Amino acid sequence: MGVSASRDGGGRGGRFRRAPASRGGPLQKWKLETRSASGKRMWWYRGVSFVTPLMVAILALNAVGNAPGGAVGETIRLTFGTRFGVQEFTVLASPLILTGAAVAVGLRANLWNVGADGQLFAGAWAATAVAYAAPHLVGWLLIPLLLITSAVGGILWILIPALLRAYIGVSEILTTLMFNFVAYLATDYFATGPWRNPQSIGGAIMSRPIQPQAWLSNVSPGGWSVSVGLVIALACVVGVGIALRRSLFGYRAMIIGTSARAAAYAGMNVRRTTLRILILSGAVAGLAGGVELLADVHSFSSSLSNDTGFIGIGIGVLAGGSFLGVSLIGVVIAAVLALSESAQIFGVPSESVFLIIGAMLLATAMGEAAARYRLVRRAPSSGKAPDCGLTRAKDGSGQS
Amino acid sequence: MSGTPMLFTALGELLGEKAGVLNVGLEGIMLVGGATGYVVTCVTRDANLGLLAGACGGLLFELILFTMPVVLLNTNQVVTGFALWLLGLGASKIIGVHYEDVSAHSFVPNVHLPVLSQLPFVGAVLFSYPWPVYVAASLPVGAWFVLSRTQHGLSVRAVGDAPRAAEAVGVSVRRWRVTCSVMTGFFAGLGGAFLTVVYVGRWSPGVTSGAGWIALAIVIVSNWHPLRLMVTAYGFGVLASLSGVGGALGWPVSSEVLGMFPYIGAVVLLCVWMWPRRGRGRRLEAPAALGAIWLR
Repeated sequence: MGVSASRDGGGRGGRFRRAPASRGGPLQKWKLETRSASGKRMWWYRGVSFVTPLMVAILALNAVGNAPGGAVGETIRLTFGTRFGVQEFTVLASPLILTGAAVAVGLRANLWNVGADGQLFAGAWAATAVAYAAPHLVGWLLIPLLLITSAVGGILWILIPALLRAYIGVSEILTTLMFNFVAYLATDYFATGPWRNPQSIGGAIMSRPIQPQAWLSNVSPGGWSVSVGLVIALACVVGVGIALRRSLFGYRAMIIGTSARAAAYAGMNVRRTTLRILILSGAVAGLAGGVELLADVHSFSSSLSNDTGFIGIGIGVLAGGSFLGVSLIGVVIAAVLALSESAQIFGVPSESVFLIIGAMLLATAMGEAAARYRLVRRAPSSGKAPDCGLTRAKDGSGQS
Repeated sequence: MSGTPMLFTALGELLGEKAGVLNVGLEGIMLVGGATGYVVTCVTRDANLGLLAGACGGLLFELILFTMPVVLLNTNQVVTGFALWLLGLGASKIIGVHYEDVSAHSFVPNVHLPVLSQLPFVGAVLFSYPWPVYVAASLPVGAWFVLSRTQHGLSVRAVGDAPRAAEAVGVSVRRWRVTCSVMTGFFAGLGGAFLTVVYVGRWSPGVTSGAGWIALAIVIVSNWHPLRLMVTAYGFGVLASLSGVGGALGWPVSSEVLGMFPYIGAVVLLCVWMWPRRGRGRRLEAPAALGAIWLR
């Protein structure tokens, strides 16, 4: 860039006067300066900013809830102290972890799969279709078949956006998102139309249930009741995480995420890897739908997802690319959700969970920014050329 | 008329993006604006006030939660935008929690343009709308004029295309970004308020159903050009009203399938539009510094 750092004010015609160096106004008193990026500091800031909104939220819930002083304690007891509570919690956590992982897969290559929700429904749709088509298949054969089918369903649903992104460059954020809405409508159609439940009371968008031998139940380690879905989810996430960390494919994805052009120069097939990453992402999200179908809802319904896909985006971003982080944060978010469901008894509105997650995202973003930059008071300079700031800019391109 | 909310929001986003600020939280702002506008309308029984309140609500929401972190603190624009959206989901629900399914008992009357609305057929169809529709229709023209023909518009474009050059000649990048970003919030809030107060006439948590996201697509598809944006937004409005129209006319296709048209249309449009630009020869006229971090 040929930006001359010299302050030749009169040159460009009188219109744009050279601004005086020591400008007034609050916006100009401070400036941001890059800081040396230290990994440890990043995590520290991230951790603090992650936890702070949670603390604030808990305090706020305590204040808002109707049971004075005891709301938090009671809610925690209900959620984690009872066998049923823990079971529900694990059921809640399974699809969240999976959608979080799906988004994390995409994020590894800097691809935003916003359509995890739609793929979830598509996966459940595929599994339901197969389940209806094979009503007498025995359980231990049917369940894995259905899970695989749901992953395939997710792949099918992301296929078009993935192709568009890989080969034409259409923003996957927009395409996957649009497909979400199409999926919602298709779900409504199928659940109230061809797959309608003849016994359903009017108003519920729910198909007739799938056969009982396909239902996932719980395992009981040591007296607690844990949904098998959670086991599946964790296994899947661990598997995918290891695969991406250790494989050439995952490495390629990371390079592409950093700089697609560099990857192309290095001879990588950017298009194919982009396609594959997105397909993997879709598969995991579809699996979330399958797990939700088999372990929780047991029929094709719009309640398969309560914006699970979108919360998964939050999880994926918060986890910062680490799959271990996805599991942990998924668990935390599921805990928040479970708590907020219990807290509804005390009058806390249910949508407040979005506030909490949004606040956490925002705080994390700010924390990252705080870790990367520092606010420096701009010294009132006396007309010196601003080349100092430019040469030390992040991209390192000296321009004097 | 169904294109109007999207038009407002998309135009606001255009202004922001021209200055280099990418805001993916539009849906959240629309929700907040919608909720605020509706509540104020119910309380004050004045729809106009409600619209204004919605716009201001959107403005404030955006200012505090997006503009400040992104422009001043340099947080990642995409992540902050997502956070804004989630916060909007929650906040709008809380704002509107007592007003779901409550009728507003106030509406913005249709404005019949003096002579034009008397025209036999065209008059009723084209020229008898609530006043915000006319505002929305004239805004892109105004925006086009300002952006391309005035000095301030030049500043905005400079900030979005080449911030270092702009800073070097004394245009304050930060100030313009704040200004444009705030306007994004204002218009998105207005779009949301129009949706709840005028178009749908009711508040419910999911009332926008993706309109904010479609607005993003509109900005891209229109190649960042205000006039083309107007056409695109109204096109989407047509698509969006297909399901209602189809039901009324008794078409044999189910309403859900018709309802998919705006979304599929968005994808198709993006696809068609980007097709000639694949590979190296991309001629996107996106502001070059869109989403880039500005360190001064």
